[in-house]
Amino acid sequence: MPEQNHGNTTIPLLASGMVVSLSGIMLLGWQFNSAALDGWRVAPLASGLLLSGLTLGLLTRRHLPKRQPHIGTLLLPCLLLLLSGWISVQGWQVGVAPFAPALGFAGVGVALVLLRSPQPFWIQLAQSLVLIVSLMLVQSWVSFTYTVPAEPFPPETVLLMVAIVGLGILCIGLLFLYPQVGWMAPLTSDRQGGVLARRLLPTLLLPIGLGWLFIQSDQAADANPPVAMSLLVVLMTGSHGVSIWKSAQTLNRLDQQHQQSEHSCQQAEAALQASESRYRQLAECLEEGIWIRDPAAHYLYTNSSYERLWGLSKVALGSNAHWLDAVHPQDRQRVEQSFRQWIKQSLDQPSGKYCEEYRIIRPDGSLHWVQERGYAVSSTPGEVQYFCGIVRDITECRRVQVQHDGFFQLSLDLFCVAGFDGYFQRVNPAFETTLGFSASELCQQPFLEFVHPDDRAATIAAVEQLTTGQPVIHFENRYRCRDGSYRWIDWVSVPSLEEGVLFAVGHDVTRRKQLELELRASEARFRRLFDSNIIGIIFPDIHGHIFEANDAFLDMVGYTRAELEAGQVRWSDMTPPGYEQQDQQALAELAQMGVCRPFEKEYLRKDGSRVPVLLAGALLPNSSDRTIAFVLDLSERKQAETAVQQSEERYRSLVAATTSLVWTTDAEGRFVEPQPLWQDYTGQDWHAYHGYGWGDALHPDDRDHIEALWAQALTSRQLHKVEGRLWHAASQQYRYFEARAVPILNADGSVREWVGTLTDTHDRRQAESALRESEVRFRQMTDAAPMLVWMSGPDKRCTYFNQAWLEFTGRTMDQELGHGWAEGVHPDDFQRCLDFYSNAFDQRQPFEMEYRLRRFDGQYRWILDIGVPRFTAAGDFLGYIGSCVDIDDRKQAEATLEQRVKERTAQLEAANRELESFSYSVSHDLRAPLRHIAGFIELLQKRLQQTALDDTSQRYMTIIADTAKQAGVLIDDLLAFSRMGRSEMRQIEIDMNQLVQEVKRTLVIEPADRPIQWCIHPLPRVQGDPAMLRLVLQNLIENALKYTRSRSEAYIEIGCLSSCDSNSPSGLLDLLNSQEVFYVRDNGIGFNMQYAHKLFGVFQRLHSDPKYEGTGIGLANVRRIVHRHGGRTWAEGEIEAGATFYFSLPKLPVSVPPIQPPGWTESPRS
Amino acid sequence: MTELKRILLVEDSANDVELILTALSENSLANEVVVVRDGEEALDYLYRRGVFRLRMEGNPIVVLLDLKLPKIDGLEVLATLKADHALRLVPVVVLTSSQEEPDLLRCYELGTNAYVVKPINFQEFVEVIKQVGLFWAIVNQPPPDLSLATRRDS
Repeated sequence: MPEQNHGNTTIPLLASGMVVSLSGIMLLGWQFNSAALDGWRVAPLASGLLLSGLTLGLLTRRHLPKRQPHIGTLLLPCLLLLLSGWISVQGWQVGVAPFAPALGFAGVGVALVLLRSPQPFWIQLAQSLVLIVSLMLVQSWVSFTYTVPAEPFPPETVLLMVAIVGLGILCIGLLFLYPQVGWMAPLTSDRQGGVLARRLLPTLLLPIGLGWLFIQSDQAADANPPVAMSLLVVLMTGSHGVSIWKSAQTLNRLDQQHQQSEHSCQQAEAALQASESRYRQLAECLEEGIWIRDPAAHYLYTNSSYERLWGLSKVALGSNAHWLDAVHPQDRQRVEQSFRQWIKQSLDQPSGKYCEEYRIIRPDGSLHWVQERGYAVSSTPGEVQYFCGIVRDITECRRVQVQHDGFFQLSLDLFCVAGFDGYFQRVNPAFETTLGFSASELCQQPFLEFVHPDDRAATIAAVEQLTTGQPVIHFENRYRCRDGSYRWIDWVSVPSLEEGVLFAVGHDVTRRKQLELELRASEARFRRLFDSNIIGIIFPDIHGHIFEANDAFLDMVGYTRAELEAGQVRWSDMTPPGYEQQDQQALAELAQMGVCRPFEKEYLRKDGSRVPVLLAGALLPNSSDRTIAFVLDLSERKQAETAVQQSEERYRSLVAATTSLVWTTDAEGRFVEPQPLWQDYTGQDWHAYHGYGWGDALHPDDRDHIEALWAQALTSRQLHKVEGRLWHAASQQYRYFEARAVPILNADGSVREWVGTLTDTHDRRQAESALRESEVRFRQMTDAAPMLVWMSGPDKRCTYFNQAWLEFTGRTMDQELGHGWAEGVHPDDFQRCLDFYSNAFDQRQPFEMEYRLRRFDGQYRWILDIGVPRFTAAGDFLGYIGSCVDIDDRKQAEATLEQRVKERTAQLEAANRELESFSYSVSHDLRAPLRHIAGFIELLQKRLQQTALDDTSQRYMTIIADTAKQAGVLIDDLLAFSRMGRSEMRQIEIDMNQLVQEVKRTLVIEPADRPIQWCIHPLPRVQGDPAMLRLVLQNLIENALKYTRSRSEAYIEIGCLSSCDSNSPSGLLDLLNSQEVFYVRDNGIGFNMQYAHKLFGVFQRLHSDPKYEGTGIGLANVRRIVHRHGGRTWAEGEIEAGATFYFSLPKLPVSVPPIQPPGWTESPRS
Repeated sequence: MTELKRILLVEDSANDVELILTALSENSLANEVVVVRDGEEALDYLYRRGVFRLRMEGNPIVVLLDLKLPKIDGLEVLATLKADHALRLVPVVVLTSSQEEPDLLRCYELGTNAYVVKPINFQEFVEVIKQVGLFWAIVNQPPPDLSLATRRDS
């Protein structure tokens, strides 16, 4: 385009300037009449140059924003053409033919006009003209230079030459005005041709130069023109040849380069083809459909998957219209809009991507979901080369997802995904329909919040099981609904430990639970009926067997349950002869209709008597031979009838006296018929309660409320319950009532009338409020009581603590409830306390336990907790109630007491030890001096026997010896006595008969031959220390011997008192029940009963007579030993009439019969 | 019996010593009676140390031992004796006033060969001493003297 070829305007401008300057010089020369310039010619030539120079100058401005060429460029050439014409005419007139300038100006003028147009054609035409003019000018210049006359362009004058030079410059300027258009284009090209042309251009001067040389030489000398011509030809040929060679060389080089480039081009193309083939194969192999479109969104390429996906060939896909036709109508507009927008955006900014999912309908009618992604590919930034896209068939995914979603969304069961953090992550709409909470509400708080508090522990356990990877099957808990009710949900849950979630499916089993409950209740009702024994019920089959019967039936026929269970009770056997026909008829009815009508028959009782019964039965469902039958004992029918009559009377009087009354209204709730019961109750007469007048009998405070409820009931056709106060005429007060009503409908569904009841609940309410008051009183009482009181439910969880408890522990009720109280139990007592409590609880036993409970100040205090089970009047277990008393102080006191006892014991032990060491010392140190005295007296006596010793001295010696001996005996006795108190006591079962014989055997009797009558009765066995008891017997028997010395015949009796013994002293009966009482009786000197209490004291002697030696320790020893055995000692005596010494010992735990024969009497010892 | 062996009497009471010696002499027991006054001396004698370091070799034929002694009492002496290899065979007769059961028990546990209560009656006393002396010094065959035997062996 010419406009774009903004060539260098330097040359044209320079040329224009030079020409204008030249014309200026010429005009100046003409003005000053320069000799060199002919007058008449100068002006037109100079004007011509000026005009053409200016025009050229104006034309160089073509690149300026003003696109229209200057008007001067048209006017000035026209003037130039006129001028050239004028010059030609002038030259004609003066006879000079100035053709050259004239033609030159004319040609230039036309060329200038043509150059106004930007069309290459016109430019080339103008350049052609300029070249012709140039050749003409060269001819003129050559003629002038060679000074050869040459027509039609004679170079006449210098002036003319100046003009020619000016024109020549002008021509150059014109040619370079558009150097890259037309003829000039090859020369100015940057390519090899242009370069070569520019190099070869100077060779044009060669012919001119050579020509000039030859012409000069020709004119100067007589040269041979043919020779010159041949020389010229040779030189011309040479220069031409050089040109050819140069061109050939250049062309060869170019050709070589071209071939090389063509070769590499082919290689690149082959590589490209291979690469493309690979990509194409890849594309063909892909399952995804691939397309490539040009920027106008026409298909360039589609792979086979794409065509397969669409079910169309590439040809058929050829246009966008077909592609969009296949899209599902519902998606078409969206897809088209999105696609076009993307294409448009990508052309502006190719970074945009396109992704759509939509449905297509294949020609075979099948519907497929596809996902399409598009990318713009641009080779240079900002310019989109083509678009490519990938289409994937997501029908299956979509279908699975839709199915899953369908399951998830549509299921009536609860589907959820929950995290182990305790939050729902996703729940299905069934949650909302079941629980009433929205999904977001459910997901916002831990799901445990929705679980029934009683089920939380179990739920936590179930979740813990899930965290171990174990699935939970059919776990049931209750979930809270928006309305506060709870619903039972049966869960099946599996964990996904990798994802940290659990999937759970819940089924609302509330209805089932209710049904279960109802079923259970129903079962219980029937069971109750069965067990109530009001009527005989049996489950027989039609063959005569009775599977089960209640006690009423068994009583009726006189059989026991054991006999029933053993299968011995058969109705066929119990039916007396004569009833077979009735039975058959009943069985036929059963088989036919499933039930048999009540009929009378008789059964044989076990005792053979007959009992008349009324029998009715029905086949059990799902059974063809098992039935249920009701048996009524008709022997009591008469009584029953009487009872019925009485009952009816009672009922009648009940109805009369009942506080319930029945009323009817019309559909609008008006009393339209007399209501005698109402009238009786309220005292209103017909006029008063007629219509809506009944409202006047209501308590004024209740009236509005009840009337509103009634109005609401009339529209909703439902009335559950109305409570209020109604005037009771009889008692002249308002009494609470409860009313219920049901609408009676016509066949067309409209309400015909309302029938209702009205029950006086006044007394019940009073009772309830009294109960409530009592409950409050109880609560206040327990709260005020100083004892700590608690209560627990049947589940061991505590439900109540009184104020004293809470004050004691310093905790709140909420903290203590359930098992919270146990936190306050001392850790050492905790397990014991809990075990004890649970144990007693399970056995429903009262319990008492002591444990330490933390007081509000942190101190643990011992408390005594007494709990007793609570039962309802019906005997149902309700839990426990218990009270606690702070026994810490008592415990402390006990501890102190124990401590004191320990101290005392220690003191006693110390004293005992001291006593022991004392007696040890006595034993050692007191005996030694006595022994020494006795020993040395003996020695002294021996020595003195040799000399005469007077009687007195002899007597003194004897006294000393005897005294020493007596002191020795005293010491031995004392030590023995002391030992008795200290030494360990053995407990062995002893035969007292044997012991007596042993003692008797060792006795030393003096005088040895005195007569003694022994009377020894059989003695019982006792438990005790044999050595000690032997000492007792020995002492007593020795005493008896000692004090009977003076008797001519001693009588010694040893025996045992028995409770039935008439000789037994009165007042001993109690003692005899638990102890054996032994005695030793003698006929010795006896003693005065006045001193009987001193007998058993240490060192106490009742006889000062030296005949009866003794230390006064023997009986003390007896008493000590018997006391240690838990018995008693006492004595009876009379001076000179003998004495009886008694001692008692505890009876053996199990009585053992006396060993040997009845008492025997030993003859006096010889 | 080639030589009359000595009897060792351990008794602090001079009166008792005299009575015992009298009783022994009345029964013509010719054995030499060595009297020591306390437990320490008794052990010194038996181990040939202190004042007895120069005595002749050989253990006594019997040791008559009182229980209540100054310094080292009879029970300790008995325990030491019976625990010693060389002396454990020497017969020991506990001769004491005490007839307390704990004393009896303790002495027999420690291994005494006899336990004799000194009677208060002098006649009985003399009789007891006589019997003890006769039995242990004459009737009883004494054990081999281990102290001599070991010394001879070595």
